[in-house]
Amino acid sequence: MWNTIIVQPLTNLLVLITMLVKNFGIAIILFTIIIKLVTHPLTAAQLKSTQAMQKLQGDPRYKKLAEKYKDDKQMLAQEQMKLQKELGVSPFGSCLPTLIQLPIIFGLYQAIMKAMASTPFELKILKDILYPFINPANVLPINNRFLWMDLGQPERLNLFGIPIPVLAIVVVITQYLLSKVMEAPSAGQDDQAAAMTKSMSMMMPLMMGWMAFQFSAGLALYFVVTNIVTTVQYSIQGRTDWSKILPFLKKSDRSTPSIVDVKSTQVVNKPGSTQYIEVPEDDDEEEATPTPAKVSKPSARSASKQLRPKRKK
Amino acid sequence: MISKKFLVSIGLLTLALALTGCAVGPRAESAPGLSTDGESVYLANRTFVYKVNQSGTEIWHYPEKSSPAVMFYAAPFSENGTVVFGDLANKFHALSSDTGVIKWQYLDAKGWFMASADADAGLIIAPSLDRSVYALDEAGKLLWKYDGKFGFLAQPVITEDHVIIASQEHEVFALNKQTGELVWNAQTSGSMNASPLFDPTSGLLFAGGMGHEVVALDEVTGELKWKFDHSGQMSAIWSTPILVDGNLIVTDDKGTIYAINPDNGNLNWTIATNEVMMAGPVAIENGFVVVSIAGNVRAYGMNQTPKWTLSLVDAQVYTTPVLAAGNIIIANKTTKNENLMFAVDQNGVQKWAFTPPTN
Repeated sequence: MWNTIIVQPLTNLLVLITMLVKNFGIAIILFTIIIKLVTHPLTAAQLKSTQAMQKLQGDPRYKKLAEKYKDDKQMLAQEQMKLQKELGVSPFGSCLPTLIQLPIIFGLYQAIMKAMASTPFELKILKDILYPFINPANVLPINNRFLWMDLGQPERLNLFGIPIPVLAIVVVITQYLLSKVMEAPSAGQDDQAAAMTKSMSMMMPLMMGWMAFQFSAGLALYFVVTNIVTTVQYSIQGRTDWSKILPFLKKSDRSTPSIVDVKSTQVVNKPGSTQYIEVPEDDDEEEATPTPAKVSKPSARSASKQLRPKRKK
Repeated sequence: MISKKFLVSIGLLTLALALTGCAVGPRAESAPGLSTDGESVYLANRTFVYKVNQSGTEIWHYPEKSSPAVMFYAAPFSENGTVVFGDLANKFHALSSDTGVIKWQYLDAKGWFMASADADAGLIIAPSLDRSVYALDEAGKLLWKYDGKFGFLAQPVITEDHVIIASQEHEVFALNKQTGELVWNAQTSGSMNASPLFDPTSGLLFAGGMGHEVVALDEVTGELKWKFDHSGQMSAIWSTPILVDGNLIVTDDKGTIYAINPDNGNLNWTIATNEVMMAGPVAIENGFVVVSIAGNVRAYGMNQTPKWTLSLVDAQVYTTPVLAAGNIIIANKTTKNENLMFAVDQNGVQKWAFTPPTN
């Protein structure tokens, strides 16, 4: 069932692309990009939802709840849920797109593993799952050579007699960059949460690098392409915070206090729900009376700012 | 109190280790490699190579302690008191066949050894998945190296003047035994994953592959003598043909057995077992035996009549059986550390099953 619905179609797609471009490395790159494009709406929905949650966590009322009910977890959960409901934020909003994507991600991984068959046993399995319109005699074995790499085996580049795991290093770098640009804004998070986010940013690249070091180069290549494409996806959506890796992009440029046009500032709201506007971080609640001025688009830049309800007259 | 940061770090590290291999080691799945010196049996399965005597008792295993980073699937080759084989850690080993003690290792290959080696008169030929064929002397010194375009899966054949290789590059080729230079190559319709059969009497090589055909080639020139594909009805061939009683016996992966006239490629007869097969046939007295992936063993006489059948319980057979001390030895692809091999006599009676002592 799993194989028939997910792995087999993906494997056949990868083999077809390989037949067309006649290069397995390029095929993996194209295949990963195609799948990422197909799943882009899910990624976008996930990103939106994640950002809404991040903003919510920056809301002073959210913090106040945490403070108020610090000794009563049950009450805290109830009140937080109320607030989430009021703001139209679903705590599971980012889970569903992720859950839908997960089988595709696992399938993608398995498809690449299957296509890199390097033993007679694996070749037989691959041959048996190819659709009838693909002649195994024409396409198998797939040539695993790409640049200096044998994609079916762990990659090492011999420099002066020292085997360097170049691809694993690239995986670490791209994963680190991705983690940094995706890192949730620390404003609004408590110290421990911020520390955990930082810890994840450090540990994830190391974990992925270790996997790339151990796995076949084809999979490491897939990790690299995925990291790059995901970074681009985040950038396109304006979700990246480049100042975290490019310090010369001053954060202050982007954290200009805001200024709101309620109609266009509907970051997290459902139609009909309370509307929230962005205000400077250091503003006091009483001073938050909105002063309509310029349009403020929702983006990662504004993620660090606090949200407050517009008072309805 | 342990911080959350510490716990997250430990959690991620554990996840990485778990994902990569419970996981430190090659990510390849294969069937066991099986060979015999006529009496004893050699089995390369996962982290060990075993030598087993004719009553199914382990004589030795190698290495002493297993490592998940070192896997063995290439069938060991034994000659003149030395047994040679490669692993999936890019190393090629030579051991004393009596004691299993290591004699030497060749460490300069860049890829896995899936193919069995061949040896003759001090010349050892070891094809690797790094696309090279290595020729070593008895001390493990490199004599020459041939670089191809694909990794090699088939055991080479050493003839009087040549080293014959069936290649995944849709060809069979011959190298000069002394120098490693290409002498001839013959194109085939598909990848060749199994060793060719050489018949010294006729001077012909017989080989089948994923091109759904069997070819007969002149060993000296590489000239195609005949080609058989059963009018396009043949399926892929994953094993080496055998010659029995003037018939070339070939099995395809749809479970059809073909008896072909080796002189002209004409079909003598076929038997459809309707079972999926990867393992090749093995000759027995007055007939031959085939084994399906599902572990069904069938013996036939040369008049096509079934002699007996036997179903091996919980067995998956992808490896061509061997005949050792009169018994048919069948390797089982299993992840459990039990029943790695079965011995069946030529009347279809199971004699023993090999489970290694605790390693």
